[in-house]
Order: sequence, then C-alpha cells, then structure tokens
Amino acid sequence: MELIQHVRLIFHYLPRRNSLLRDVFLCFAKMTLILSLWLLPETAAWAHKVNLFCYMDNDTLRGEGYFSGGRPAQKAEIIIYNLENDTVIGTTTTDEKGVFAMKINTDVPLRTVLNAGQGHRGEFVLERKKAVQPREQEAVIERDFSASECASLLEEFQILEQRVRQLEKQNSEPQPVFIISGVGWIIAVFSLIYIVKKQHAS
Amino acid sequence: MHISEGVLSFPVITAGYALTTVTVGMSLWQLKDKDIVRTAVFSATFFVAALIHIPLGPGNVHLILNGLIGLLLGPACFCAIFIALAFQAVLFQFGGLTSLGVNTLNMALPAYVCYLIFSPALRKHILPEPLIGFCVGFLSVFLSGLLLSVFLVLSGDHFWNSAKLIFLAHIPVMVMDGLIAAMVLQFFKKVKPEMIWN
Repeated sequence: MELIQHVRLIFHYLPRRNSLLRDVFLCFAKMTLILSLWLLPETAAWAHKVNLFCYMDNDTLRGEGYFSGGRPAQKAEIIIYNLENDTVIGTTTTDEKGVFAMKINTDVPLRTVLNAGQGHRGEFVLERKKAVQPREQEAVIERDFSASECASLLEEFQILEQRVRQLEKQNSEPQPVFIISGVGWIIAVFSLIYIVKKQHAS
Repeated sequence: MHISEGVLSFPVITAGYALTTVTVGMSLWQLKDKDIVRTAVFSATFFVAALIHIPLGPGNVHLILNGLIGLLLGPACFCAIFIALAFQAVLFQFGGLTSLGVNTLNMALPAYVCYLIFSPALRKHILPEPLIGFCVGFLSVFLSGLLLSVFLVLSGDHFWNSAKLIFLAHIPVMVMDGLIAAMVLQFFKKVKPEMIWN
C-alpha cells in the first residue's frame, strides 16, 4: 500500500501545466516498465563498441573491425594472443576497409584484440579444433574436384562469408526494443530514488 | 567518447570510481523531489542521444548532449549521466562496467563546468539562448575530449598523439552538439520556458 502511495506521489509531481506532456510521460513510463521487465533477462552480448569478427582461412587468420553503423576501423592495431598462455603471437594493422589477414603457424586457440585508439577496443576469441588424425582403420576418401566444381564451391563460400558479416553487423546494432527497455529502466531507477528519498524524509 | 573495457589501468579505474561515487552521491543528496522527473527525462535523453547516428561525410557521428544536460540540470547531471551510462554499458556494452566511473567523470565534469560558466548568463539574459546553447554544446564536447586524453595518458598513452586525434575526430561532434543544444534551448524558450529558468 505504501508503494502505491509513493507511486501516486511521483505522478503528483509530474508536469501539470502541459497536460499533453504529462499524458505522454505516463503512457511511455507504463509501456517501458512492462517492456523492460520482460526484456532485460534476454539481453544478449551484442556489442555496441568496436566490433571485431575473425575466422581461420586455412592457416591464415582473417578479420574485420568496424564501429557501430558499419564504419570500418581503419589502420587499427591488431594484437593476436595465444589464449592458453596469453603470449603475443603477432601484431598487424587493419587496412582502409577495416580488414586484416595474418598467417598463423600454430593451431592453438586465439584471442585477437583490436585497438582503434581513443579508448576503443574490441576482442574476439577463436576456439580452434585441433586437426584430428584419421584412424588407421578408417578409409580416407580422396577425390579430385574439377575446376568448375572448385569455382562453384568458392562462390558459395564467398556468399556465405558475406552473409555472416552482414548478420554480425546487424546484431551489433542496438535494436529499438532494447532502447525502449533501457529508458524504462532509467525511469524505474529514478522512481526508486524518489521512494528512498521520501522514506528518509519521513 | 566511451572508453572500452581493458583500456584503462587499475589505478585510473579505482580513482575514477572513487570520484564518481563522491560526485554522484552529492548529486543524489542535493536532488530535490520536484526535480526527479526532470532529471529522469534528461537521463533518458542522454541514454538515447548516444544511439542517434548522424551521417557526416564518409562516416557518422553520434550526439552526446552532455553540455545541454549539465546546463539544464546543474549538479543533478552527475546522477543523470551515471545512470544513463550504466544502462548503456549493461545493455549495449557501450564503454564498460570497469570504465563506468571514468566515463561518468568524462561526461559529467564538463557538463557541470558548462553549468557553472553559462548558467548565470542564461538566468540574467546576458547572451541570447541559441548562442549559449551552441557554446555549451561545443565546449562540453571539447572538454570531454580533453579529459579523455588525460585519462588515456594516465593509462599509458602519449598525450599529444591522443589529444590531437581525439580533437580532430570530435570537431564535427562539437559543431553538431552545439547546433542541437542551440535549437533545443530556443525551442524550450518558446514552448516551455520553465525548463530553462527553473
């Protein structure tokens, strides 16, 4: 009951002169509180910072760094660490398109750090499966691919790679529903501040 | 302008949190009941403003609006900005939780400085509101950039390299923030003057 009284008091202090502003605020507060309580547990780890995406292409580590909105992280420092003992395997920089490639001679898991300056930093951990040696009993099927088959496979791979990058970029962008949820949480925190201050005053 | 996780050194993070605790605590202590709704609205504005990207040349810039929030909220800007940054860090990994203290100082201190400088001019009508708005928007981003350089230097960066890069990168943001703040002040003056002269 006390909580309801406090909530009523909050509404009492809302702007009165402009009734439209009051109505909009109340409606928005109710909607966002419900949305935020529903959504916060689902917050995924999609990042709004410098994003880094890496993958292995045979023995070459390839990657792409980009800011929110897809702007490439140009000339950014790349440091590749051995994930197991945190030693530096190599360093390089991204080009104008924000991409880099570096030959890696070991098959250890990697942690790649992108340092774009001005306090912007991105990380990507690449867990690598060690090459499995075929058992003696297992028959190894080898076959030669024709040039047209190779070209077709390569084309399919490039399409898939492009699609993965697009999805990565889409996921790195904050979605409206999460923005509304954030606003809801801010209103909730200030409501709590109000209640605590009222309790102290009384 | 948000410093990511893993960039700052441990002493800088600790000092940042200590100073932020003091300033946010004092800000909450001074916050009056009647100003809570207003502070919440500006905190939400700051939270959303950083997500609005404006295309500019080959790239895009995002709004900060810390100067405007500082000018209109005064000391309450510390808690408004802290709460907004905390949710940006949790929901969007904008900055990070370890660098939250430093990021709060980086945004809120210039906002408060702008309040101290321009609030008397605004109350006494010494300068036109749009001009004050532009100066506040421009100066707050400039000071935030300067503070950012200082924090990065304290964590091992070279000052002039950082400061030069940050200054050049944020010139469009300074202008953009200045223009938006000028327009907002002009709008408030016409539509809801009590927001400015509260």
